[in-house]
Amino acid sequence: MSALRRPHDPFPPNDHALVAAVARGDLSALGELYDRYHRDVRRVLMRLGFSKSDSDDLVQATFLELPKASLGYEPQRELCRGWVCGIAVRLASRHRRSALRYLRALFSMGSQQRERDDETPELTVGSREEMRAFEAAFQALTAKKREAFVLLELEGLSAEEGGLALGVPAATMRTRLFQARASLRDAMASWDASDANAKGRGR
Amino acid sequence: MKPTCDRLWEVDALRDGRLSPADVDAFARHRKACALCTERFAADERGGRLAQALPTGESAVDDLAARRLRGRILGAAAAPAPSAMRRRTAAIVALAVCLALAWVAATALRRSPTAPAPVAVTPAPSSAVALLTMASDVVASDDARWARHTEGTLERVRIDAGVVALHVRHLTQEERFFVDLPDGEIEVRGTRFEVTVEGGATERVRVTEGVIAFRPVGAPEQVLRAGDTWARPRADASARRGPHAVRDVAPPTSGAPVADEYAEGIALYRAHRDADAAARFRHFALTQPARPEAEDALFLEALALNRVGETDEAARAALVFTSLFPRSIHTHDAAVLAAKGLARDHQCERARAVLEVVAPPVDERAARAALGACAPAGERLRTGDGAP
Repeated sequence: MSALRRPHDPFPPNDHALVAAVARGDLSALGELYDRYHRDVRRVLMRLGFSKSDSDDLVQATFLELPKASLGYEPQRELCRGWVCGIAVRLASRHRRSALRYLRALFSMGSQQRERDDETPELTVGSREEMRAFEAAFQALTAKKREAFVLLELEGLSAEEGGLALGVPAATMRTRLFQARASLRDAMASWDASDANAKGRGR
Repeated sequence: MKPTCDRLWEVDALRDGRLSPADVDAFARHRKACALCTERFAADERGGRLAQALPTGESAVDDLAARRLRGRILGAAAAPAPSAMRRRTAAIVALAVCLALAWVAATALRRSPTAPAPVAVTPAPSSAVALLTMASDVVASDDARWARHTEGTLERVRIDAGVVALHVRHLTQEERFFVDLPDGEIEVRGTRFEVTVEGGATERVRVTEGVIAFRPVGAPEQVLRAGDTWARPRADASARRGPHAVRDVAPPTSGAPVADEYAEGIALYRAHRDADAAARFRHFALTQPARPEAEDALFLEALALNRVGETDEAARAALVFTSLFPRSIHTHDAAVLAAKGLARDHQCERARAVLEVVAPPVDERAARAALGACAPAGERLRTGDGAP
């Protein structure tokens, strides 16, 4: 069966067929996978704290990595969305580790504000403060905990799928998620206490 | 002593979907009586809700930007991979550059702790599309010699030869971007432009978006806006005005200047100068992917390559075209061209697959002619109409 999409095909090829076609060098299949998952990849990257322009670079790098990575794809075990997102997360992790990025971040620390393009006007002042506190706590998590939280809690992957995507045991993913939740709970509890104090003083 | 509950673990298990339906009910009953579990559950629910509201960038990506990125990815994926030897050489060179830079940086830091040390030099690829890594997106001609250099929030691109098109994203206040030329400098703040350097001198600077400041050595700064082109004066003029003299900015010519290269390609194609036409079309499509003519340019590149006898390159270009423009009026012809090339290369399955996606469908005779020995004997071909 060809993995290529045919016009108005009511039964488009499944993900596994597309990945197999990409492994054979099929550009149309790569385009189809991009159409299906580029939004997921971008969302994961943005949630991990990357800027819009860095996310663009990483989305591109992720899909350019697919032809090589597809040779090791295991359709019996892996979910394509998790697999693609896992590649993105691993590239992002490498990207973050690079000395150049680290130095650039040091140079620009404090001078850049992350794009908040989708902050909704419905947020009240109070909830905006709460959101800021949460975002700070979220960014304070270690990269590994943040990755586990994004993939499992937000993207809905199971610990097994997330573990396969990042190449670690499922139990490790569960531990990281557990620790991430605990850190976030503690941070928000501290914020609640200081917020209550501030309101008490204001009265 | 802090109160605890030995069923707190079930809060996580519930959120992760690891509890059976019976356990979910049992734990719900337990929560009604256990303040700790209720509090933990509410705190995790709140964390999940707030995390869902983190920026996702989904509203910032329009379809056009996504399509452009798709085109860039497929174009880069279609380019031939560098050989293992070249990869090894590049890795060794990169490693040597990193070590040298580390040594320079360490020396500079020891001498003057406050002096900014160079942090990276990115060796430029020899040709084609350089992936976005910094503030700029660079497309260079095959013969271009250029390099990128970064110092903190300062980025410099040095161009020694060739045609280099740059798209510089809008910079923050702290960021600065310069182009170093053999005989001058360009400063930019978010724009698209193209620079041609030949024989150690800047030949042409053409701006398609935004504004740039061009500072030729020995001449006053010139501000070039979208549509402006600066070109080096001819020998007689330069003799009259000195070795670094520059002529005034050329006024925008009639019509859209960015389409000039496309028009030049068409003229070359009509004059049967097919190799030049193909190069012109390709450069235009790479540097102006958002222009409506880019679609025609990519297709014409394939046709021009085919006419000049570069059939493999023509098939590759046609294949890229069918991937980028699956619904174009040229897709039918491009698919036939691509299928011919693939069939010649004995990639029968891919050759047949290319013809399957085409709408309107390729007729049986044309498809068999394109596939040659790859056409299945004794059965009808599947083409874009979906019917065997």
